[in-house]
Amino acid sequence: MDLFPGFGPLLLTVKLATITTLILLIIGTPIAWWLSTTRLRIKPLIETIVALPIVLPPTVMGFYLLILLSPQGTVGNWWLEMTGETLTFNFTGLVIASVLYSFPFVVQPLQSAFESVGRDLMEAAHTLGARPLDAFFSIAMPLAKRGFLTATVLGFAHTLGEFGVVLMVGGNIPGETRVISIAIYDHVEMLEYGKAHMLSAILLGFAFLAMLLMYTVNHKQAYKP
Amino acid sequence: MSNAGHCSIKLQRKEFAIDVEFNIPSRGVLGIFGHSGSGKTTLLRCLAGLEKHTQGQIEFNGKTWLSDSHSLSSQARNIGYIFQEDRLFPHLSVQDNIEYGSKRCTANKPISLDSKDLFELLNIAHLLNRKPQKLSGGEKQRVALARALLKNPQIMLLDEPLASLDKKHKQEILPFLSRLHRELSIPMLYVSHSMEEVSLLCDHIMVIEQGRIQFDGRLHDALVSPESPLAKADDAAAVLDGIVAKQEKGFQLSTIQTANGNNIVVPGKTEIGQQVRVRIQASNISLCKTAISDSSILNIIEGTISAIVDQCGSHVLLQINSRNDLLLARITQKSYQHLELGVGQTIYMQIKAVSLHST
Repeated sequence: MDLFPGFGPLLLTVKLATITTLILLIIGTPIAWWLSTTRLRIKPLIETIVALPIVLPPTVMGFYLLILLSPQGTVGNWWLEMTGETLTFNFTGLVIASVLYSFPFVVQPLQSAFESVGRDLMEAAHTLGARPLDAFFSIAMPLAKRGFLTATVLGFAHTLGEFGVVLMVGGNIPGETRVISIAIYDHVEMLEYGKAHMLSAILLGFAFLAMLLMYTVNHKQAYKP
Repeated sequence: MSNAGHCSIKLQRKEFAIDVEFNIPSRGVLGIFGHSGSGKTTLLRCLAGLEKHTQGQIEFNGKTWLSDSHSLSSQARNIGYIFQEDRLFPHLSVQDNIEYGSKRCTANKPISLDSKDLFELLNIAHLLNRKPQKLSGGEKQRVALARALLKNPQIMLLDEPLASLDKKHKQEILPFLSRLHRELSIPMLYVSHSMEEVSLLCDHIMVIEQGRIQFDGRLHDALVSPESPLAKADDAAAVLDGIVAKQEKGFQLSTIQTANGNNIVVPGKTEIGQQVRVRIQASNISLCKTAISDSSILNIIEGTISAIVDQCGSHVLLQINSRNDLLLARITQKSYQHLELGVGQTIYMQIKAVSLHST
């Protein structure tokens, strides 16, 4: 299994980022759509809550999550009763923390993409016989595809690099919560610079390629409607 | 004219409240005329179910679209809506745009339109594989028309479909609309602030101001009767309907005969037997007490002054009845007094053929 020393954390990180991004796309899409269409006065409040993880220190978020998810916390206690498992220091808890941590990076690009689709074309679709959900999938989604690409890349890449929240909520359990950034930190602590170099280079390379892909595709589409 | 529906609509806006009640004709074009900001677009959106807070009652073809307890969604109202902008879907080809509606409305009863004939009529058959971004403004609006018509709506709602187009493209689409009007068996509601469009297309007209109906009646009456606000407009004009009775190909002139037996020469080579409407502006008619025979003016029509519509400043606007066709003539106060004119007086109208527009 262990092809090279960093393979375990790498695989775990990719698994975490994939699951997190999928969950975020599923729950983030309706929230972004709602934010892009609502005229309710509480919209700025919801937008603020969505954006909080951008400015909040990860340790602060991790601290509150730790309290919430621990067996004594509301959510952690409920989960323990339902499943018999704890949410802190395991993979499920890590997924929940990552979803919250990367939330704005998925919701915001989707929201602005939906806003640029606008109401006009949706109205046209309705007058042509399309129900709301039908119009969403046939008009809004295809027209917001750049937003979906951006949201996917940012959500995935941001989850890959998380450290503070993971450390607080997940700790450092190999195969369970020891993600790549934690592994790098460990290697540096133990002065294993070679291993730290290798893992860091993988992250750097991936981040670069992901961003390059995103900007290339978006740039191309901007000039070829 | 029989009615297909009735509506009474109320909607509070910031600037004013829409508060109207009117009948929807079973066929023909009902023009909704008003200045920008008068609420005519909002009224059309209420009918289409696009304004959430609309109150009142709408009945159409035996169905309740709106009542106190219930509002039918836009997609269930079976309408064809043409917006001011084309609103074509940019990610779909022209063909897919057109099929978007027809695919979703397969249950609708066809309004006897064949897609091939319509593409031909609208001259868009060669555009089907293109993306909307590659079309001109006029082409886009024609595609939007095809898209709305091929979903087989029971009513067409058109919101200033020509407003965003330049004059050349307008002249391209106006004839299509007037042909559709003659060939379709469904009613059309046509919102516009252009007197010319309204008078060339509509059978009935509603004048809207500040969200309320100022005038509702036959177009011919609305244009010439002293009670109507349209008759007092600067570009007041009457329209006559007729069929082409004679053609002078060498001179590129056609003679149109109205149902009441008046003959009017207009420029153009329209086929004999075709229905046309001529718009005659009040300021293009001059009056004589005797018939002149050596004039360059081709149209000299006898009539009787039937009403004084407006008298302000240096102008007098007269309604003139010729064999029950009503026309408007605007002359100066000076000529009016000099010729000693008055209601009941027999008069000869001179109308320059080159000043006339017909569809």
